[in-house]
Amino acid sequence: MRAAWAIARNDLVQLLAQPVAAIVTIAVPINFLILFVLFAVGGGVVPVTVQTAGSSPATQAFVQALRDSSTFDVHPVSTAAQGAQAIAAQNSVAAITLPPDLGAPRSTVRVTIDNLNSDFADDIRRGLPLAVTQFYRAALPVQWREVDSYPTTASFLGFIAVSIQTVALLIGGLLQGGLGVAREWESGTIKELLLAPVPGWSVVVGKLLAAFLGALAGALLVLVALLLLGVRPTAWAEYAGVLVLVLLVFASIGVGLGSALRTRQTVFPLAFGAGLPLFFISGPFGAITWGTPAAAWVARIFPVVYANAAFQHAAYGIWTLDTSVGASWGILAAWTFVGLLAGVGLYRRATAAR
Amino acid sequence: MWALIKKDLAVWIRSPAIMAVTLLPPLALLLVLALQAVAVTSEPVAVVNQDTGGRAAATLVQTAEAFDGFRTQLLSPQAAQAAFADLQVAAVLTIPRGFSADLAAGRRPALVWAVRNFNADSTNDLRRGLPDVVTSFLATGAAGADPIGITIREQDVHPHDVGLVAFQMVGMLAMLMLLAGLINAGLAAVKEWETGSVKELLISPVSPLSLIAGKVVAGVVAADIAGIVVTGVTIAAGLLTPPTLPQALIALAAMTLLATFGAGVGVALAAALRSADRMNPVAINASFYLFFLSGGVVALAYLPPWLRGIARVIPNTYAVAAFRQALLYGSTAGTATDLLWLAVAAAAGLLVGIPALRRGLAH
Amino acid sequence: MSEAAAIEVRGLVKRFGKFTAVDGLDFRVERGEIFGLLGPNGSGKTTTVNMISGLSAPTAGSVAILGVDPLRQAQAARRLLGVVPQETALYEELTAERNLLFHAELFGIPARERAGRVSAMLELAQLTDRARSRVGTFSGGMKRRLAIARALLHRPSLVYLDEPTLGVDVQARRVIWDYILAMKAEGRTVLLTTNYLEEGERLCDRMAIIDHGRLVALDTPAALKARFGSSILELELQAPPAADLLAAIGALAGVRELGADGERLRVTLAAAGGGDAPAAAVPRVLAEVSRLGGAVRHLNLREPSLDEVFLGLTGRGLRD
Repeated sequence: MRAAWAIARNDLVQLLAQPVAAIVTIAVPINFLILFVLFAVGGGVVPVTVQTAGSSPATQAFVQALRDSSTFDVHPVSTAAQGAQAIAAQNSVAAITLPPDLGAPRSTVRVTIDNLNSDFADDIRRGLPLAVTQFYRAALPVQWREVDSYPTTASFLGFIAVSIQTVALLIGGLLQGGLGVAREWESGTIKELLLAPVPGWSVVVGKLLAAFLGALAGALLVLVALLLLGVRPTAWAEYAGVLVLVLLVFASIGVGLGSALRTRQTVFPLAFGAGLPLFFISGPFGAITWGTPAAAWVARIFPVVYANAAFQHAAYGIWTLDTSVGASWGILAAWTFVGLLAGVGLYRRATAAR
Repeated sequence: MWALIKKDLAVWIRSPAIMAVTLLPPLALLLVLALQAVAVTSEPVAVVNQDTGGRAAATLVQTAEAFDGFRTQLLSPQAAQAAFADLQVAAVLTIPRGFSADLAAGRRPALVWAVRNFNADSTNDLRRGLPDVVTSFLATGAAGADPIGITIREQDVHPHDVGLVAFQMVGMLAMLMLLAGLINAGLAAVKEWETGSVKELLISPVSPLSLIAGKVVAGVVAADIAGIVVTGVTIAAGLLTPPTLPQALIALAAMTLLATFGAGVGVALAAALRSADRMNPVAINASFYLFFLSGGVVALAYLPPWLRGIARVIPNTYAVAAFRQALLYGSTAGTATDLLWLAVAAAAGLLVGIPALRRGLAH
Repeated sequence: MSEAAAIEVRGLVKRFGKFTAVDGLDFRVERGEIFGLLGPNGSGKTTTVNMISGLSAPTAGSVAILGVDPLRQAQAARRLLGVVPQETALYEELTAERNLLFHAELFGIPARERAGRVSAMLELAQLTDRARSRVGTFSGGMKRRLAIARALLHRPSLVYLDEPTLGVDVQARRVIWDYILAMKAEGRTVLLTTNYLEEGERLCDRMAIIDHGRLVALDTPAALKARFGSSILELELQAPPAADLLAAIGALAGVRELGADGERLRVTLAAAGGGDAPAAAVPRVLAEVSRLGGAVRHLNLREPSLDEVFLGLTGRGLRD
């Protein structure tokens, strides 16, 4: 254990001796987070101008319906030219013009869409009829009542943030674990470790400890970013528990990968290559059971989906998986065990006297 | 000078690592975006019809099943409850007993819409879906005369819609050009220090200015080659339609100017960092952040005002605007302004980079 | 019971698949000697040393260092052994001092002794004033000195140096040789591998020459030369020699080989099998030269070098 501690400290000192490299590896998950903030923005409310003719109750009701449609960010303008100008200046993507006889049979709402791409344009094309329906809601022969499963709804960003936390742990753990070991081979210093009178497992434990602490710094950075974005975990102990387990899993696998690959330039793409697809199949936007069954089937093999569910539970008190809470924790614990075995096993295989 | 350009280009072509560093980040991003685009799919919804035998109820079930925002399955109340509890469906629409009769009698029957509100995005999809179904249901006439009197007339700014992936591709192209300019010129400069060949260049009768110009030009040409290849592949894959000659030239000009800006910043970074190990991550991160701050894959209008302000001073923004016009919308309107700003940025990049590298070479 | 040898290698065999890297090696290194292992690249040198240091397991045969099995008693063996790897294996981003401290921690040197030993070793390596500098900024010679200091830090009885002066300039090479001789003076056993025969000759008490995984010769440098070397007579004539002169010299008794380059002649004399035989041929060569009208401008008779010994033994040079 003494040797393990010495090895871990040595790794951390090295990490600190190269601040640029350290910041870059630690900041990688943050880049990921920023990318998704952009997604959330792009998939969010659509900035539109609305030109009204007068302020009849019908007009006011329609503008309100547009606001209630959870689709539009409404900016009132008084002339059609202002609407066109807002589009040209890239301040809005559609100009809606309401007629004076709004609400009369066969009245026409005109819309100019900056159809940048079909996805963005379709949001507007769907949103407008909904606003019309909303406008008529009191007069419709049918009504509907929504019953929500939970009293509050997490924001889109808050929800995917949890998956980003997991993927940050995955990439951070694999990178820190893998790079720490691969570096020894690249610099030839693995000999210093192999020729020291210490058992192989203590080298693995030392490497694991350093990777764990290095990746933890990155994970905490992501957590701080999430707190700034308004995520407020309700169960901190649970959150910390998942974080530690998942980090252990991937740091151990990282140590194993580093031992097997021995070069940093192969560890990097592998960490990302594993991280990105797992992020997408492990239910970042909703329950995996709502998506394609094949993807869900693959996702169930890996620990990411259970980690996501446990994080969602800790953050919002919701359970997003059809595997029970207990079973999910069991699977996470089993993965921790498998990860440790793989880390020690691959290192020993790589360094065994042959 | 030409000899230097040729040498740096030859080095570039034989360095798979440089190509990988240049091409992989944008490709990885594109993959992420493509996956994201695919991930947005319809949601599974259960319909429970307690008004068995009611004709209007049957029509409503059909309408819900035909709605392409949902994957609808008709279930018994118990099965629907179980499926909802077990997360097999995201929402349950219950048509109450006596729905058809109440509708006919004008008693405004109420549908119950149980929603698993995990997050605002998926929940809003469900919330918007039901009125959509109801609207379609009313339009069938099953509930009597349709009370909705408003029609919508749409007019589009661009002659045709382009796909989301092509739209994002163009944003990525800007990132690629910037990164390629940065990395190619920067690494070419850094290499001289790493291999010590800087000495040979310094004692040769070449002026430092033409030495630096050689690196910048080689970096930009290499970046252009990468950009043309990527654009060509995208056209071959059917994501983009082939541009006309003027459009192609505008796109190429925007590529070249952005890469020149990148190359200027690249040689400045090289003079400051002097090692590929430090250079690569800094270059990749710098181009990522410029990509993010320029709005990247979304339109400026969607960004919060402060970010829009930042985006307007980042050269990527203008390159993306020019690319969109020329490659996506088949137009040249406004591209002159974009190119002008890009030229200013390129000049600024060179003004920073060349003196920095010159000072760096001097000692 | 006799004292265990520093290194005892018996019937050592190492196969990698079908390739036999080490093919039945037997040798014994006594305590306190400097023992050289010579051989061209790919001769099985590194594999042999890997088995001695316990990094590689023998296919057959046995190794013991100071009576300890380097595989089964790995931890004990590693404490006895100090290694200076060819690639120095230092942490480039860390300071010289940190590198040594890490080694001290790995080798379990008690905390209160660490600082003292580290500063003593820094002094030995003449790096005291660079103790807080990053190793990445060091020259090749400085790195090698630091690696030697590190290997000695835990006071090993047996020190192994792998190509200790490869890629080091002449001055630094002399310094490193002094370190190696000092190790012997302190009573340590030194095992070194080298490609430089001059180095082996200067430092080693005994040398083993191996090729294709087999032991080709094992003796003191002087004895190796005496047994396998040939003296060489170098002549510079006034004018390039005629063909008949070359033929006449080549036919002389005691001349084994003849090379000509312009007016220079290189005459390899027959193996120094007994006493004065090679030198005896010199007058005969000179007589032939004057008989055929040649005139000697310059003459040199020299001892065989180990390079030539090696060439004679293995049919190839050390750095082919």
